[in-house]
Amino acid sequence: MKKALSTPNKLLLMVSPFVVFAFVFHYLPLAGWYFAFVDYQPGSSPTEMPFVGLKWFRALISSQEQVHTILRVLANTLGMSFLGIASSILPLIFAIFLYELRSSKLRRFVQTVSTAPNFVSWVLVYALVFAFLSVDNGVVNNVLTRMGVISAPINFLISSDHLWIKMTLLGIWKGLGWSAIMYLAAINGIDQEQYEAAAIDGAGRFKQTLHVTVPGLMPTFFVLLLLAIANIINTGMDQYFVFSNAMTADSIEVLDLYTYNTGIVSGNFSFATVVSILKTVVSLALLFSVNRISKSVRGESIF
Amino acid sequence: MQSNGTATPGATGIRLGRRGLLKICGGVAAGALASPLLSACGKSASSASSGGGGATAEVSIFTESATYEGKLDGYVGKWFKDKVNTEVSVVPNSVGGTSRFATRLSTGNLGDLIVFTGVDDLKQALNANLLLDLSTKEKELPNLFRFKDAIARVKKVYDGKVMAMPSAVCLDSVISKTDPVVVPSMRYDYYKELGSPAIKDYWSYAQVAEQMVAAHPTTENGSKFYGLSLFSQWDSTNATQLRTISQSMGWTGNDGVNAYKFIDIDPLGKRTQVLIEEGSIYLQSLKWANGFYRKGLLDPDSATQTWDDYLKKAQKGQSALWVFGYTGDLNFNPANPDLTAAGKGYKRISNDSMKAADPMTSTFGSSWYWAVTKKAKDLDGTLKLLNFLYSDEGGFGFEMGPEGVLWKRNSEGIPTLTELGKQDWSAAIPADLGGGKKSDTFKSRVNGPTLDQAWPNPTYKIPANYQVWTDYLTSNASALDKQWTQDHGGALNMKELLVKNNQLAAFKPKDVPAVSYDDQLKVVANQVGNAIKQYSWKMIYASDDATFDSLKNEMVSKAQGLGLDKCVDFEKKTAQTFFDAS
Amino acid sequence: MTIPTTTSAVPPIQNADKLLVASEPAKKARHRLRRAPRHIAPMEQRSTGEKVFQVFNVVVLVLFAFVCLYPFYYIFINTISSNQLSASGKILFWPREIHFTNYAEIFQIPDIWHAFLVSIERTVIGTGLTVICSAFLGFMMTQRKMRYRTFVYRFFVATMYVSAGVVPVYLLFNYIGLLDNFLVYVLPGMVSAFYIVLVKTFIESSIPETLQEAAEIDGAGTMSLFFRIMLPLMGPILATLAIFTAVGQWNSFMDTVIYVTRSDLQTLQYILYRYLTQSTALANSINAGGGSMTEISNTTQTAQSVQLTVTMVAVLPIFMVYPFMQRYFVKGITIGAVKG
Repeated sequence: MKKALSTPNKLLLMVSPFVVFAFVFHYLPLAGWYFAFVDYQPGSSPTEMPFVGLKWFRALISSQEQVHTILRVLANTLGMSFLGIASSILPLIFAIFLYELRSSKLRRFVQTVSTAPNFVSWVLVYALVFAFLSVDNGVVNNVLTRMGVISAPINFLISSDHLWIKMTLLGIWKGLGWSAIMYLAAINGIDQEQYEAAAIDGAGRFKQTLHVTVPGLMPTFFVLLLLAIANIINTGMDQYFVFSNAMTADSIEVLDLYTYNTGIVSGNFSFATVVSILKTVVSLALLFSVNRISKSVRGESIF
Repeated sequence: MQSNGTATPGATGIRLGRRGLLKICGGVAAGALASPLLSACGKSASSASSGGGGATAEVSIFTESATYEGKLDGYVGKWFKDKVNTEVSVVPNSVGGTSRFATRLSTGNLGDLIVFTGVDDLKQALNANLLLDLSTKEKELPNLFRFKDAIARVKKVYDGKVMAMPSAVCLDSVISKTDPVVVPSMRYDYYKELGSPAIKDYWSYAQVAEQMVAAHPTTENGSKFYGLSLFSQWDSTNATQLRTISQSMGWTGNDGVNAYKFIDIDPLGKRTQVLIEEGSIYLQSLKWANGFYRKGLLDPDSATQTWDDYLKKAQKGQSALWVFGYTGDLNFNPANPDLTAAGKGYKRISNDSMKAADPMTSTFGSSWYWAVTKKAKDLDGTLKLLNFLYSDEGGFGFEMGPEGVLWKRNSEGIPTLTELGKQDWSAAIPADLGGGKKSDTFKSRVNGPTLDQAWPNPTYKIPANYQVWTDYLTSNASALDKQWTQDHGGALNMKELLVKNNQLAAFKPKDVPAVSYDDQLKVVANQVGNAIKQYSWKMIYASDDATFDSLKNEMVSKAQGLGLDKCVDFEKKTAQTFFDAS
Repeated sequence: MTIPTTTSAVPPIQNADKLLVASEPAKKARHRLRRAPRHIAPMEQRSTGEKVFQVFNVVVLVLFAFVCLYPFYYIFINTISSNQLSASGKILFWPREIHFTNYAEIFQIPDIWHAFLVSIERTVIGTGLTVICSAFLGFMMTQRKMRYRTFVYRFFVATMYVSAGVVPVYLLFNYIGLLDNFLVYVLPGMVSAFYIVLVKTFIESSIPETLQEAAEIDGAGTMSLFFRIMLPLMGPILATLAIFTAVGQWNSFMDTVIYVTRSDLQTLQYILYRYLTQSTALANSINAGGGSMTEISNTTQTAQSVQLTVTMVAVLPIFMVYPFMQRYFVKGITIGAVKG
């Protein structure tokens, strides 16, 4: 028997338990997508729930106003996702800068400290930002008025000017150090001989970085980029929820927040399921088309 | 379900928590009136008798209205152990805002007793065939079945069965003694400095506030003093604080059973008003707040500050007027004993047109329910506990616990606070009384009131809510309180004054069915509400009349485009049922 | 209702690691790497431009470090200053009226130490399982000879984007007995597509294929190739996985919220989180109802001081363990020292 298995089959057999595992934990529950087509009633068996066809899909776009809202929400989602993706090069640069630091103590210190914001929940981030930016006694307003830069305090949090950029900057502050860890690992994986060879060729520090470090990081960067693009409509909502107020809502409401505001907040599982389905479909479509593009442009597919 | 990668505790949770809370608060605030609990059966014997011999029962309560999880210990735990030989554990529905009801219900894992905060989840539990019909247990539950109106109400809905017991029941409708939230508090000493001017109507508070700020640009500790400060964190479908102003004119958004998102009702005049219809009180309220903004009197952080930030301002006394009256007298005053001793601080100030809508105690109970599950492991123990909770004694102890810890009866048999009862809520309870902290109350941990807290308990003659006890109001009075009482013909609180001056629009809750939007309309209602909420705040911050009006028009057309009319029709129908009920 | 947890550009991290406690081959690999000196450029080659860059670099990174560190400092001084002062926003740069009652209060929560143990267990076991599975699968996905490899790989990758919602998963876990079971903490995250992708990418870009071919020619089986040859060379990526997973496991509370009722399975984060929301809840409902909690005295918990203290208590253990794991990916460093 043993002999009968060729190497390709043997390898497949070795991963098959994990395939089954992933199927059970990730794909089996998708049977629950059925809830999108019924009026969901917890505790009843699925057969007892009234079948309503596409009612919940239509609920998304049932009026002119709603279509406008959805479009605006999509614009916010895509806009901020795009800025996020555009800034995804920063952790890579940060990792290189860190790597180029000469003092190893300072390097460790900066690396450790830069991951700290990742551990502060968005609720607390808002509390901190508010403490600094509030009109009433906020430090920033106090300093600016005292220095005469502004004549009257400004309510920064209420302004929707450059909101996407402000949100992106906050996201960078919170995630930069943490995301850089992956690149630091990749730098450490770069073969030392490459540097030596470059040095022998007379490459200075800068050229070594450009011709050895950067290319060494590219595979990781591209993979993460692809994953991020497929995730473009999954922004999460924590950050946007806490910074959302009446003045900023129009520019900050992303798809996840919108779903929360309209469906989840009132416990509507059928509606929430519809959104899950749509998001899954869009993400997978993006993932595989980006992959195809990568194949034709870079000559190699990632997945 | 994936565990939340990098978030620290607190992230999503709090946020949702606030929403949930909001509801709780809304419940509590709107209804100091609907408040529950005290009460009575003629035979307090039934409650007082102990569990007797036998093994200690273990009963778990799944509650939708509290967040404590674990055993009920401390002095309240001892109370249940002594009285009904039961150990109670509590499982909250919401942990940090994540409701566990739907998931738990899908496998029927909801404990022995459930506290429902509305009919939506109750209906789902019924669909899932999880609840026990209490009418089969009438003998074991005499304390529940003495509330005939409440029982009749559920029997009517469930074909003669008692699938759940309304919370906050009582035997007769009376006016509560709690101050209505809507009577604002203002700096009383500043008000007197101005010569205690007459205030024509609600909108006239603005002039008084303006004069106060002119005379006192900063507070005692040097912070800026605003005319009006608001917060938006609890808003769901409108600017909540401003919406409550209509309550001072006899309108309300809650009839005691059902809450309205888009209309106000006048329970006595049987009228309805759409929040955003031309000339509505809500629109006038927005205009009023906008007036503060345009004069530079509105706290500019109003739209962005959280409830926590708002409370900090309250404790510093940074606003001449607080729309939720308790924000001044119950937050600032206790935090500034030195000032109140000098006669300075916030007191409720009424106006000449005041007609505060105020629900009376309800013999039908509130929109919250207690239910027993069919899966109760120790059914006898569970029923015994529930029966005790609905006794006079059990109901009275909702917040104040057993006799002899926080309160005792005086020579006339009337409850008065003990020394322990007068202390801060963080005070420790001596071990021989059961231990724990004073704040480990049934209210804080389960929050399922059985008897209406505002209803004079037959056994003890006074309501369970200690804040209206004469003993408490007199022994706890500061120089400021005494001054106010002296200026107001001896009235101990605002409620007493309103009743005396016929400024209260007290209405009786009625036996109407609890209704809720169907799932699809709920989605629409949320969208409409979001639009109204956002435009409301933009209007508050409008720079001139033209902007205000054009925002208003946009709000109306957007709300209508999203389906406002459907929601309004639905709510008007609900209101009509309420008006028509006897 | 739960908010759908979504993956953002920053990975949703789940679990891995006792590899860090280092198997023999891993240790050897590390030595090997350490022995190899990194770009030792002769001194004289350092140009002015490079010197200027160094100065610039130090300034920028130190500034950024400050921006990252200050909020933590702010949180810390607010947890040990008078709650009253903290609540009125007066604590910005120096602690005042120092006290530790906030911390004392948190450590008095019943069962908190037991919960601490559960947290450690799930972190260690969960991290170990995830790292080993991800490393193995990531490696297998580089085996071009495997039948249906592309399909299998895509099958894994797609799991990152499919979501069924919380109820179906709850029903599934009920059916397979994961509710109220310790395994619910460590199994669901065991096969993590994101980590598989990271490992595969690392192997393909950092470990020469010739090494594998040589091993195969020597007659090594797939398993021995993985454990003897590959694993020791994967130090940096394993450390990354381990830190991501461990932090994810440590911080996780949603699974306890949804799938666990047994009190002996509650984790530290769950208790802190619940405690935190509970006190806010209590404060809010009482305040709204009429005010008993408003009598806030000097050391009475105010909502914010609890939030801040909980954050410190939750995060400090991470920062105590972090430097040990950090060595694995900020290690190249010794070389910097040589150079400078």
